[in-house]
Parts: sequence; C-alpha cells; structure tokens
Amino acid sequence: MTGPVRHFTPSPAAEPSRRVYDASGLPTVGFGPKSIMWWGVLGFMLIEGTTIGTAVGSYLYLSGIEPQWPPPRTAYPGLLVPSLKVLVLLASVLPSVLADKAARRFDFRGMRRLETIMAVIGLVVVALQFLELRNANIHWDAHAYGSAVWLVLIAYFLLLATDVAETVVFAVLLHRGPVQESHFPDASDNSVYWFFSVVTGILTSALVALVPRL
Amino acid sequence: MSAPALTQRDLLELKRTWDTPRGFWGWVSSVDHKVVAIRYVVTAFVFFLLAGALALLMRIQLAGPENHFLSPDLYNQFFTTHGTTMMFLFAVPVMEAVGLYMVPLLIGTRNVAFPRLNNFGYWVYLMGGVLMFAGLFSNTGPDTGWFSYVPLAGPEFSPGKRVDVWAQMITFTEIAALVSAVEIIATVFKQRAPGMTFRRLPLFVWAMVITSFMVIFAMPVVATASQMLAMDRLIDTQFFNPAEGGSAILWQHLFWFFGHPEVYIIFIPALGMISAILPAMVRRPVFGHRALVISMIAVGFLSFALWAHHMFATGLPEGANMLFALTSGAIAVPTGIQIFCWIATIWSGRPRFQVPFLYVLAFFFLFIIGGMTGLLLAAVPVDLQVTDTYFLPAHIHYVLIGGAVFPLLGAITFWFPKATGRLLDERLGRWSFWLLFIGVNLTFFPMHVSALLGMPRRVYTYLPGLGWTLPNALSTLGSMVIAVALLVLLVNVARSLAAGQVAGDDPWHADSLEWTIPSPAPSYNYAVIPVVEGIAPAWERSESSPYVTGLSTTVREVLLTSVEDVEPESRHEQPGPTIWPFVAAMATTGLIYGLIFTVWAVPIGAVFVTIGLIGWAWPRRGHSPDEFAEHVAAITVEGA
Repeated sequence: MTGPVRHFTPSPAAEPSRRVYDASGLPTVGFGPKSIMWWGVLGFMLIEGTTIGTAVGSYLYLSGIEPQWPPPRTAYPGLLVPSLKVLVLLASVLPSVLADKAARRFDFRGMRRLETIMAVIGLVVVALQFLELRNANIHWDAHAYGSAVWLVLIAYFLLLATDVAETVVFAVLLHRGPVQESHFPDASDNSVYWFFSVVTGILTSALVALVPRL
Repeated sequence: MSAPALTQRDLLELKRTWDTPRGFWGWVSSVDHKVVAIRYVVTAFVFFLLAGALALLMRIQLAGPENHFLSPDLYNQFFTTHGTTMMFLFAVPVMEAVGLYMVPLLIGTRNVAFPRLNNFGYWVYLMGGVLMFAGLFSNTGPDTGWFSYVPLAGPEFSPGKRVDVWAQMITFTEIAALVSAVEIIATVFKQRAPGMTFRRLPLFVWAMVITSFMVIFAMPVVATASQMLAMDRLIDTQFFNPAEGGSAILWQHLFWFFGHPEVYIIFIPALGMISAILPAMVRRPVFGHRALVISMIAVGFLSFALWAHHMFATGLPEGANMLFALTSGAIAVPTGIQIFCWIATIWSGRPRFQVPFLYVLAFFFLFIIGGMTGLLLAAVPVDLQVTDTYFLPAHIHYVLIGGAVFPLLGAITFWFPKATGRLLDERLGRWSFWLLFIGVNLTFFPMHVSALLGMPRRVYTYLPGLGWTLPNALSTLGSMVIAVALLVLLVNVARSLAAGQVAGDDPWHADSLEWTIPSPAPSYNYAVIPVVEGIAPAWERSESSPYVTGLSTTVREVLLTSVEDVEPESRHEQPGPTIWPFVAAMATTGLIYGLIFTVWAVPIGAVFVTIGLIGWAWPRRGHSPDEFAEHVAAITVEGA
C-alpha cells in the first residue's frame, strides 16, 4: 500500500535468456485512472449522462413543438427549492474534495468523517429533490409539459438516490467494518461521481426552472 | 506456451483459486468470464432458434395466398416477437457474449474487470428473455412490431399488457448490454498484457471497444424512451399523445437514435470477427490494421448521424432528409475501405478454404448485396417508394444475416476449439455452411421481387393473382433450407462436444495471443502474463519471449497496466464468486416485472435491489475500523 514499492524492472531470474518481469513488488491500490473502479465509475457516468441527456432532449423537443411552454393557465415552477438545492450542491463540493484528499493521503479517520458528512448532505439533497417535484406546480398527467418536467426531475432523482444510497452504505461500512485498503480509492471515486451529480443536478434544475420563463 | 516460472504446485494453487465452485449454486454464482459468456452464447442461440421457429411458422403462413395456418392476431405477435428477439435477445447479446469470452483471452488477462457485475448482467438478460416468451405463451406477446410505433403502441390503440411486456423487456436487455459494455471498456483499458499498445490491439478487441462505447451512447436512449412509453400507458403521462402536447414523432426520433446504431452495434463486432479469422486462414497479418481501426471508429461515429433515414416517410423538412441521405451514403466509404483491406489481405495471402473462411467469403457476397440495397434506401425517392414493403425485410436480413450471422458462425467455428478443446467437424461444417448460404438467398432474394410487385410487409396473408405467390413460395422453401442448415450445425456441435477431434493449443496456426494457452483455456487463462512485442503475438513468441511473474497464486489477482504505454501499474485483487449478484438480479427482475402493473414496484423493488447490492459489495474480509486506522497511520508515518 504505502510501503516501499519496488519498480517494475526485469529481474535476473533463473533463465538468463528470457526477460522475466517480477510484479510482486507492485502496489495493490491506485487512484484515479490507475484504479479499475474509476473506469467503471466513468462508464456509469456516461450511461447516466446519456439518460439525463435523453430526458433533457425530449423536454426541449416537446417545448419546441408547443406554441406555449408551459401551456396556458399553468404556474411556473417555484424558484426557492431549486435555488436552495443548487446552493447545497455547490457547498458540498468542498467536503467532497476534502474526502478525496483524505483518501489519497490514506487518512482513514479524516476520510470516514468526511464521508459521513457527504452522506448527510446527500440525504438533504434527496429531500430537496423530493420537494422540487412538488414545487414543479404541475402533475405528470396534465400535459406533455408536466410529463417532461417530471421526466427530467425523476431521471435526476434516480441518479441522485443511487449515489446517496451508496454513500450512506459506504459511510456505515467505514464505521462498522470490515475495512480494506481498497476503500481509499473507493472514497476517491465516490467524490468523482458526486461532482457529476452536482453538475447534472444544477443543469437539470436550471432547465426546469428557467426554460419556461424564457 | 509452457508456464516456465511456475511449479506444478503453483499451477494447482492457481487452479484452486480461479476455478468455479462445484454444484448448481457454484455455477449460478460463477465469476469466471468464460463460464458466464458460454451461458450467454448458449442462451442467445436458444433465443435465436425460438425466434427462427417463429419465422418458420410465419413463412408457412405466407407460403400460399389466403392461408389460414396462423390467425392475424397470432401473426402480429409472431413477427413482433421474432424481430424483437433477434435484435434484443440474440444479435446484441451474442456479440457481447463472444466479446466477454474472447477479450480477456485476446489481451492476456485472467478475467474481465468486474466479474460479479458480469454475472449479474447475464441473469438480468435471461429474465428479460423469459418475460418476452412468457408473454408470448400466455397470449400477451407484443404485437406492434419490433419498433413499437406510437400511436399504435399507445394506450388508446393497444390496451392490455402486450406492449408493456415489450417495453420492460427492453429495460432488461439494455441493463445487460450496458453492464457488458462497461466491463469490456474497463477490461481493455486497464488489463491488457504489458506491451499490447493500441497499435497492437487485435482488431476484434478494437471492434468490441468501439461497440461498447456505442452501446453506452445508444442504449440509455431506448431504455428511457421505452419507460416513457410504459408510463404513457401506465400512469397517463402524455409524451407521445399529440392531443395533450406530446409527439408521436418524438418516439421515432428516440427509437431510431438508438435503432440505427443498434445495427452497427451488431455489425462492428462481426467486422472484428472477420479480422480475427482472416490472418489464420490466409496466413498473413491483416492488411491495413490502422485503416481498419479508423474505419470502424468512423462507422461508429457516422452511425449516430443517420437515424432519420428511417423516417423519410414521416414528412421531415427537406433539408433534414437531404442531410440524412448524405450521411447514410457516406457510411459506405469507411465500410468500403474495410472491404478493400480484407480483399488485399486475401489477395496477398495463401488462403485455406476451411469453414471459417467460407463464412468470411459469404459475408462479402451477402453483405455487399445488403449494402447496395442500403444505398438505394438512402436515396429519399426510392425509400418513399419501398417504405413498408418487403424491400425492408429483404435488406435488413441480407445485412444482418450476411453482415453479422455469417461472421458470427465463422467465429464460433474458429474459436470453438479454444472454448471446448475440440474442433467442429469440417465436412458437416461445409454442409451447414452451403445449406445456410443457399437457404438465405432463397428466402430473402425473392422478397426484393415481391416488394417491387407491391407486397407490403406485416400482412398475414395476400390474395392470389398479384404475382406474389411464387416469390413467397420460394421464400418459404428457403426458410426450410435454413432450418435444415441449423439442424446440421446443431448435430455438428453435439457430435464434436462428445467425440470431436482434439484440437490442441493452436489448431489453426493463428496469430493472436489466445492460441498460446491450452484448449480449453484454464480458469485462470494465463499461468504467467505474457509481454507482447508485436501485432501477431502468437507468431512472434518464442522460448525466449518475456513474461511477467509475481501475481499471487492464492488470491484472484490481475495485473493492471497503464492506458497508453501499457506498463504494469498495480496488482488488483478481484472478488470471488458469490450468490449476491444473482439475488440482486432477481430483485431487479421483481422490480421490472412489477413495473408492468404498478409504479409502486419501483420504491418497493428498490429496497430489495439495495439489499442485494449491499450483500454483493459488503466485504467479507478486512480489519476493524479502529485497528485499521492505527495500522494505516503507522505505515504512513513509516513510508513518509
């Protein structure tokens, strides 16, 4: 892990005619692109991104073919809840960055504390997202506008709920054990995914709140 | 290749570490990519045969005019289930399955990147197929065509649960496809044997990587769209209802934004298979490795830019029609480059006319016919004339059978010895090849004729005297020849499994890495990890070739390498077999089956899925947190 790392060089093995490389001194964890899980997270971000993109694309397509968006006699979505959510999301970047840094310097207690904070923040954002659905001021079955608003918000809600559930379980695991050294890169990858949740959360809220007002 | 650095005891230990546990539950929870992929391939072929049987029944119905063998309602369910099964339950999964089997072997690693996820993906896929056929057998088979156009598929014109079965089956297959795509990308980017740079990467692996990226950008679109359709039907959302601000054309955009890349998601792996088979069959490396890679990438990109050529008849603006006609024609350029590269390979090689090579040659013939009719369809005026006629089934079957099934069967024949240790019989192989080749042409060529005589697709019967009788009778005869060809193939597989010729490590004298290890491949694939020094590693390896030792024999360790230079970076311990991915897959199944009837299935199902995922990810071994914190702090200080 953090012990002395032998470089990956040819070793004079039993058969001198063959170049034999000894991997036994290589580390067993890596961060960022060196971690296999990071690539998995990247893949799932692309999938989630395409899903949200489809929802947003459908919203914009439907808004483009309607003469009025929202339809007549429909209230605009409220601004308070999404504004609050955006603020919480922006503020959450700091503990998320710190969690990543703690993980990278193998500071277990620091990482655990910050992951716990991230779990609590995540639950707050889930609650705000739930309120944002009520705050949309339209039912999903009233009109294609309502369907599109709910589609965008629910698509993000599912992404967010999955991410937060994972963070909560991870925080519990760090308190209860058993813990392993691979949990350090896991925490780092968790921060990467949270940045993605922050960006998509801000974009989807902005879309739903602002496009009807344009 | 021998395993020089390891003793017999090491090899036994490796085997014990990597072998799939015995018994039914061991099999269910296996994380060996080969075990999971073989299940995938076999399951996909079962669906292929089921969908083929439906096609045969439809052809019997259409053999003569005014036939009453099938009722119109059953006919609708059959053609929908046939098309949907072939696309979603056979073609895409079987290509990914061959990828999941072969990619780790081709790049010199011991397993795919996320082995438990791989197992989860299979069970989800299987349950999607079970849903589809359970629907059909209970008279709830989807009946609105494999692209389920609204408003026909909407709540007004298709009450009942048939379309919901279709929509949720999509969810299953898309989850499975996406899981496989992430597996393949992570495996290729991080687990290549040292020295296997992108320039030396086998073309089949390139094809699978490109396909996987396409899956990631195409499948979420149809998964989202099918949920939108399901919600229009279940909770009265209005996405596709023009009366309430929705749009039926939106469905077509979403479906074809996925649907056109889908064809290439099936086709690009087949291109990779041809490039994998050719070097061994013509005894030289493939001509133009880089041109082939660039062409495949170009095809991948272009395939996302021509979806609206499926919608020329919907009244899109003329400029859009022109643009999509241009992009549709443009895709012939990279495809042509590939065909010329292969011709150059064959021209300058010394061909052996064995069965895998016959399939490659037939690919050229069939795919060029399908490609030419594709160019005709890319021209808007022609497309408008032949839309919804038999020209479409004729074109798509030439493209997909010629372009994908033939290379697939060639690849199965080629890699069968690596998977089983035995060769398929050459004589029976030739019989099934020629029967299939004749049967396919006899079935699908007359469809061009019936189309030009005005026969629409998706009609359960027709009147005499229209000139359609002879082409239809020929098509039916051809479909029976195809059935015989497949029967011969099955007999060949069964005979070879029981008593086929023992293959040895490298029966084809092929160029790629998998032929340097025993057949069938051991559970750990490579006893020592090879270091790759060229584009044809099996031809270049010698007793003095370099290799890597030092991976554990007692835990499941794989070597991770850097993305660009492919230098060893770390040793990564993989998780072992467990029942939890199966449990999570069954919970997912409950959620999606439930969603056919109520949206409450989502929150309730999510609880069970979460339990499954926690059981899956919760570590079995490790330290107590406080001990671990002290331990890590101590090492960090020491290391600093």
